[in-house]
Order: sequence, then C-alpha cells, then structure tokens
Amino acid sequence: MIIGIKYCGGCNPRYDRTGAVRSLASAMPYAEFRPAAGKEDYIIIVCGCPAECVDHSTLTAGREKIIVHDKEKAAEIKEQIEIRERKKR
Amino acid sequence: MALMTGAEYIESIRNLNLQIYMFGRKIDDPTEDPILRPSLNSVRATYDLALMPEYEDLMTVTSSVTGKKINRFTHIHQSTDDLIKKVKMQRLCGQKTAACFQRCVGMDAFNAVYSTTYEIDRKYGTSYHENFLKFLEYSQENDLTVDGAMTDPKGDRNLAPSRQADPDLYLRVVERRPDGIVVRGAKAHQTGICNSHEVLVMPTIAMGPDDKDYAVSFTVPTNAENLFMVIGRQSCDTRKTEGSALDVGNCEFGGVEALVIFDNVFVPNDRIFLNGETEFAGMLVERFAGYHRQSYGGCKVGVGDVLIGASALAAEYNGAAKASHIKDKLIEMTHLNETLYSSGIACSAEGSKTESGNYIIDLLLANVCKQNVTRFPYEIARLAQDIAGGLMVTAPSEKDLKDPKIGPYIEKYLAGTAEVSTETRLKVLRLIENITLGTAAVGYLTESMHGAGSPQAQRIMISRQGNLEQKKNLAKAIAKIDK
Repeated sequence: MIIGIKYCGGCNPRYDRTGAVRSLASAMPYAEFRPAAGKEDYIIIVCGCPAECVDHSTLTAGREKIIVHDKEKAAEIKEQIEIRERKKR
Repeated sequence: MALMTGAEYIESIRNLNLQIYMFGRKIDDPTEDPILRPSLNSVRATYDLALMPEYEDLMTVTSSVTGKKINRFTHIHQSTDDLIKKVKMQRLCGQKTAACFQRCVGMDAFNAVYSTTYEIDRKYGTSYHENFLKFLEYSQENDLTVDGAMTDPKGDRNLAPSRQADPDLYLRVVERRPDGIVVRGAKAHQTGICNSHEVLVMPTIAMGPDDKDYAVSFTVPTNAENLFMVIGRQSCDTRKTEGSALDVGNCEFGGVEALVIFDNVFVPNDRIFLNGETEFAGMLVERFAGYHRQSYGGCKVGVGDVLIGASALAAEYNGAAKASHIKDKLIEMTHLNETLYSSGIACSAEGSKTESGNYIIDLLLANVCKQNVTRFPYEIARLAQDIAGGLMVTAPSEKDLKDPKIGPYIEKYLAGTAEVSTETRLKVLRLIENITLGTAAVGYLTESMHGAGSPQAQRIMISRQGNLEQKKNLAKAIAKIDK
C-alpha cells in the first residue's frame, strides 16, 4: 500500500503535523509513505487548521483522499484506512 | 535552477564579494562575519523552508511567467488566494527565524513595479514592462533575493527633491547616455541589501514636473561598480562577537540594516523601469507601500508568536504560569497578535485585479494593518517584559554561568522551578531580551514603527480612503436629515 502525504503550508498549525505523520507511519510499517504525487493508493492531506487552505485539486488517489486538520482526526487515519481496506475485500 | 538550496544561496552571496563597511573597515567575507551571518541565515531560511514538504505549499508556487515551480518570494500575485498565502508564508518565516527575513521587500517591489510599468507603457509607449518581465524571469529562474530600495535620506523634509541644498539627498539620474543612465544618491535603512543578489530601486515620494531626474526606478546587481553599503549599529550588536550562544538570545537568526551608496552607478537601458515620468512615481510608491504594509501583518505576527511562546515559557520556568494575571497577559498578547494577522488577511482577501492582471491588496485595510503594527508589538513587548521579570536585564553572562567558581552560585541563586535548569531559564529570558530590546528589537519594534512608512503616512492614506462622505450620508439617513 502506498500512502501519499501532502501538507498545508504550516503557517500556524494547531498540532504537530509532521509528528502525526511519523506516528502514522510507525503504526503502519507495511505501507510505503511518500510525498503525494497523485498516483498513491491513499493521499492524506495534512492541514494544520480548519481553514484547509492547501490546494490539492490536482491530486487524485487510487482509493481515497483523506483530509485531516486536527490531531484527533489524524489519529483516526489508520483505522479509517483499515475499514476501507476490509470493505474492499 | 528554479529553487536554490540554502547552502547554494550562501555560496551565491559569498561569490558576489559585496562592498560592505562596518566599524570603519571593509568586511573581507560578509558571509562569515559574526554580526552579519545571522542576518544571512534569516534569508537562507526562505530557501530551506521552500524545500521542506511540510512548508512548500506556502513557500512555493507555480510561476505565472514560466509555469515552473518557484519560491513565492519571486511571485507575481495572480489572485486574492496568492495574497493570503503570502501573509501566511510571512507568518511562518517569522516563526522560524524570530527576525526579519528580508525577502518580502523585493516581492512587494516586484508586484508594484509589475503593475505600474504596465500602466506607464500604455500611456507613453515605453518598454518598461517588457524590461521588468525580463528581469522578473531572470530572478525567478535563478531564485534570487532582491532588495526593494525605496527610502531616500530626504534631507530637509519640507523641500521637494529638486529643491534640496544637496541635490543628491534623493537618488537621481546624473547622466543620460545612449546605452543607459548614471545614478547618484543613497537609500537608507536597507534591511536585506547585504544578503541580496540585486537591488530594485524605486522613488520614495510622489513627484512634480521639476523632479524629473528623481523619478527613476531600475535594478542593478548588488556588486555593481561604485555601489557600497555601510552597516547600521544595533543595540547589543557586538555581543555577537563574544562567542556566546546564550547571551545573544537568538544565535542563529537576525537582521541588519545598511545605508547604500550609489556613487555614480551605471544602469543599462534594459534595467530601467521608470525614467522621468514623474506622475507615476506616486503610483509606484503607493502600491509598494500598500503591499509592504500588508507584509507586516504576517512577518511581525510570526515573531510575535515566538515572543508569546517565550513569555509563556518564562512564566512556566519560574512557577508563575498558573497565576491568573499571567494567563490574562498571555491572552492579551495573543489577542493583539491575532488582530494584526486579521488585518493582514483582510486586506488580502479584499484585494483586486490591476490593469496589468496581478492582484493588489485593499489599500485602506493594508494601511489599517500597518497602523496597528506601529502600536501592538510595543504592547506585546511590554507584556513580555512584565512576565519575564527584571532578571531579563540583570542576569550575568554565560561566561559567569560556566565559570568553575562563580557558576555554581548562579545556578543556585537564579534557579526557578526544580524541573528546569538555570541555564534553560536564562536562555528564554535572553530571547525575550533579544526581541524586545536587543538586536532583534530593531526589526520587531522600530521597524514596526517606521518600516513601510511611519505612522503618519498610514493616517494620510486612511484619511484618503476612509470614505467619510458616505459615512455622513449614512448618519443623515438614519437621523432623517434631508440635506
């Protein structure tokens, strides 16, 4: 499974965006994480606040694009992907 | 090369061999000078951040000229979204450096010159816009840092440029040749000049028909023949020569200013953007000032974020964090800081398209933004000093702290809470000192007062743009006044 990461610009993030991605990567050792290019199975848009100002319109995920803007949602990404994967099977 | 690395940027500045004077001598290698290097590092941050995935969405953008990925600091704003992202980028850079990162002035000059040259060409059939587009593409392709130089020394403020006792007190054309012009004069308070590849010169005030030689805008490389810089002194500047990371408060980043002398500098024709069209000097000044007043709603907010954080840490380190008055002061600081940000965002969101196609901020709101910036950082700094306590200015030096005999006494008697070392406590106090009355106070306070125009300049613009007649009519309608 390939997971693409696209960050917002980070002008005033309300949580540690890179820390959240590091936690996710360590919780999903079977997945490959890389900067989003638009061909990944999942693309995670990691925003620092509810403004979600990053432009990700050119990024299309193979399975799903997930947008998060707080640490609670970021902590749920793994579960969200696993549910999606189970449904696929 | 659309994006330079920070290391490549440093080398590119080193290779310029700039003519920089400080303390009565020429600096051999400005990039290694302990007083100048932190200032260079602040600009380097704008290159480093652009290459980090977690910041690239703000720091980079697709060029409207070449379609390539470029650093936003060389961009021509294509939408209100671009204007908003500019302010967000500046806040980010302020947070990462706690200093002036110097590159905004060139971006603001780019956007002002872009639209003004377009309108001059339409009226006079000149080729200034084409000249500027060539320079713009060159800057974007090589990821250059460009200093926007506006402020002339101005001599007697009561006299027009052409009426000054010394005609060089405003930068002027002293010779016109078939291949270009020769200029003489100076630009003061140039924060980024010693870290820039090029300088983009603009007039400093609106001008009349007698000031034709003073209505001039152009670019030259910062290592042009007969161009040199004299670095200004800052409070506590020589602390940087003492080798103590603790005592300087911010050992990595800073900002310095210079007086730039143009002692008969040649400018080739294709680098000229205004040359005698006096009625456009005011337009260029107003647009540049508007963009730059917007900028302060981002950069100073970022530095404010650091100062608020430092104040909160200082309170934690001495056990006062739970006191209600400390919490309230931190709330007030945040309120003031976010108010600055609000007006920076507002003047961007209310921006509009110019005849040339780029976007300009709402001038009224940009001037309101900068007017707030002339006040709020001072109050934020006052509250930071209040929270920090007197030790911020009475603490002994790092040498004393590390001294085998004296050090243990300092450790013992200047301790705060048991969980935090005395050294850690002193580090955060020195940072507050640095921002509120040390070298960084030049950028955070006095630059907030006078940069992009002193407070009265904004009040004049607010008066012009305030639409008082419409407000009177509103009052009349409510009060049922017929005439």
